Amino acid sequence: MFVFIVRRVLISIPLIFVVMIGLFFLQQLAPGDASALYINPEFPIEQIERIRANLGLDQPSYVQFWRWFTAALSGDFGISLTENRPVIDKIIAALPNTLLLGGASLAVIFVIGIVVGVVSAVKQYSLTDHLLTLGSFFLYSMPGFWLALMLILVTFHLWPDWPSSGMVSNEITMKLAHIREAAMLGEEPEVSIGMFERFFDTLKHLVLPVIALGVASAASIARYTRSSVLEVIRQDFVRTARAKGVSERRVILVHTLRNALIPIVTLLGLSLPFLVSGAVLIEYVFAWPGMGRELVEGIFKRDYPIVMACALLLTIMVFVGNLAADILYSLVDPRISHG
Amino acid sequence: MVSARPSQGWRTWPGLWLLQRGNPRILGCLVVSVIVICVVTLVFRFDRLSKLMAGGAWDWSGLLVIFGAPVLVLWLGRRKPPRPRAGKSQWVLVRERFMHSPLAQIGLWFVVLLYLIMFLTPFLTPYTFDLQVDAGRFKLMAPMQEGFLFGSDQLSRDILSRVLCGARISLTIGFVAVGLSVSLGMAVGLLSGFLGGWVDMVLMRVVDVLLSIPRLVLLLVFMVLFATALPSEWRVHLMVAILGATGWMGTSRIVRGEVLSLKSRDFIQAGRALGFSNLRLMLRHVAPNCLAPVIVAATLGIGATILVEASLSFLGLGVPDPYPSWGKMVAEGKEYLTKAWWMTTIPGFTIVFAVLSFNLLGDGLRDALDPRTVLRSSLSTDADDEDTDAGAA
Repeated sequence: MFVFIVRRVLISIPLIFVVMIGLFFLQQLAPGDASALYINPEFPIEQIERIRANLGLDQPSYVQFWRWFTAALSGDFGISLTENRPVIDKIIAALPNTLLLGGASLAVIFVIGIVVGVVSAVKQYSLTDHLLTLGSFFLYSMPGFWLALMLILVTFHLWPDWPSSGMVSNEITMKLAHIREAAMLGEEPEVSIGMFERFFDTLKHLVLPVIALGVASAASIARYTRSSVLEVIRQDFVRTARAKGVSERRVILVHTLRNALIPIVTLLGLSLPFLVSGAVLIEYVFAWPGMGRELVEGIFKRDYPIVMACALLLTIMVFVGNLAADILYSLVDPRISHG
Repeated sequence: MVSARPSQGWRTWPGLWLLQRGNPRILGCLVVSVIVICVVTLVFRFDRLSKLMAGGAWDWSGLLVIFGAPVLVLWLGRRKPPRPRAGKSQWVLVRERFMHSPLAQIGLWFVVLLYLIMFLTPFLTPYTFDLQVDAGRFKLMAPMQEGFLFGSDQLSRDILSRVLCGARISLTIGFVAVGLSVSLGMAVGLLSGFLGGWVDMVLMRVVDVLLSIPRLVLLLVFMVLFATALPSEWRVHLMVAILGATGWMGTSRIVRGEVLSLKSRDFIQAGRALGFSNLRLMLRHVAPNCLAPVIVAATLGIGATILVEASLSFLGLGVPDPYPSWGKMVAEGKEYLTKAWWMTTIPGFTIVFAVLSFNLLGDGLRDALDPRTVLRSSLSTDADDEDTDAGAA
């Protein structure tokens, strides 16, 4: 097992390197660069040259790549070209938000998906099954960004006070600003924010994005679970369990589900990169301050240090997810072994 | 498939006999609905005929379809003499399995209607997609008001016309991009699986690399970087090319797997012994035998591509102004979400409808093309096998 993991990690390093080279030169290939933000067309040519030199954009692209690469190896991801802020700071600010959103939706996806899948498998060919199947087809075909807009529209009419964008409500932002100000002046702040207030505020903001992000994937997990349960439920050991008088509940929940979940567990590993990439559009619609938004803004502004850092993180997550899927698979299914 | 002679009356009409026959009833529905739609359109929009005759390729495709589609479905639905054959061929079995699933039939019906309506767009639209009917009076009209069936947008353009025209753009992009990606995936998979060795190594590593970048990120980078460099009328072509170039990896893996298992089969060995060239073996003997999963991947891929195109357009990177695409219309409506709900809701529903149809069709095809799928009704002896489910992935 250990040898397997080490080998996989060693193979993935050159692959990640190639992905990074490809992305970097792709960005260099297109005309224009981040300096456009600072340049007025009326500037004299030497001033434009100076701006580009300051940003390091005057070097040939392989020099730029080498600079970025050697710095990145020592953990320095450079400074954002458009915001003059270390990239690592921006990522540290954005990553927890994305992980919160992605983690919450992943939990919802798997719980709902597995429950729906098991129910429709147990009641195969019943009305419930047909309705659930049709419903999951419908939700699976829905674009996430549109569902997000529809959720905003519906909540706007039903509960106008429900938060539909951002992560923190205005009151709390104002209180935070007040506390910060008071701390700077060395005074005692007049207002305070309770732990629960913060927690429930975030939770409220989380509900709509999690639904919008999770529904389509939950539908596909439900379909996988259904066919997986149906495959197991026909096997002899289930019949034996029933013949021994085990209650139907126990047959489904213990004997069947444990075996049916083996392929589902691998999906858990494979959806790890989804934590970051699946949220690009949802973060955009709900103004959620996460990685997806950083990445899209970075791409739009041609800010290559940000794009590269986000892409590196994403690629590593893909590899870790694939590896985790394989490891989980051999853990839950002893028939599979990795030499 | 024993067919009785048509008795008399309406059933003797070509196509209609299919309605009466039991099992593939959907075929009859298909034939009848296609004919009805074409005839009704022709009757109500007869005045457009002469105008469209003078039009370009865009209009001519509509003309071709309004006369061609009824003839085509009648020809496809014609009564064939039963073939004197002992067993059923593979494709007859596939058709029987396909016709067994109601959802798949509905999917097929939806897809055909979708494409029919898409081609009839020049007849159906009340206005052109970019006509501002009256920017002063008809801004943001609600559906069913002042003759706007689906309402109008902030520039007083008719949403119905834009949705119909967007169907042409979105469906065409989906179809062409998937055609590209499936051909590419098939070529790579065939080469990789059949030749093996270092070719296989290199190609599969390329696939690994491309698969480890999330598709949307790759698309965004490509679109942002090159959309500005090209004139706007090339943006759609660029988008199709990029959608095709980023979607082939899954297909190539599937095809490679199939080829690897086919390669060791006897008929390939026989071909080799007869001295067939590699190219001939690949194209004539291996490729047709791994078509089944490719057809499924292509059908499901069209749905997925429509979704991806909508996402790109939603971010403002898709079709250039003033052309509509469904994703772009949702993005335009986003600004007026609470003031004009129809601007986002209606194009969104068309996306869901289109993607749903392709997913239903693809799912049905997957079950139909999988020889392990057992029809429930044909099995009455073994009670245990009754549960053999079609959805096994």
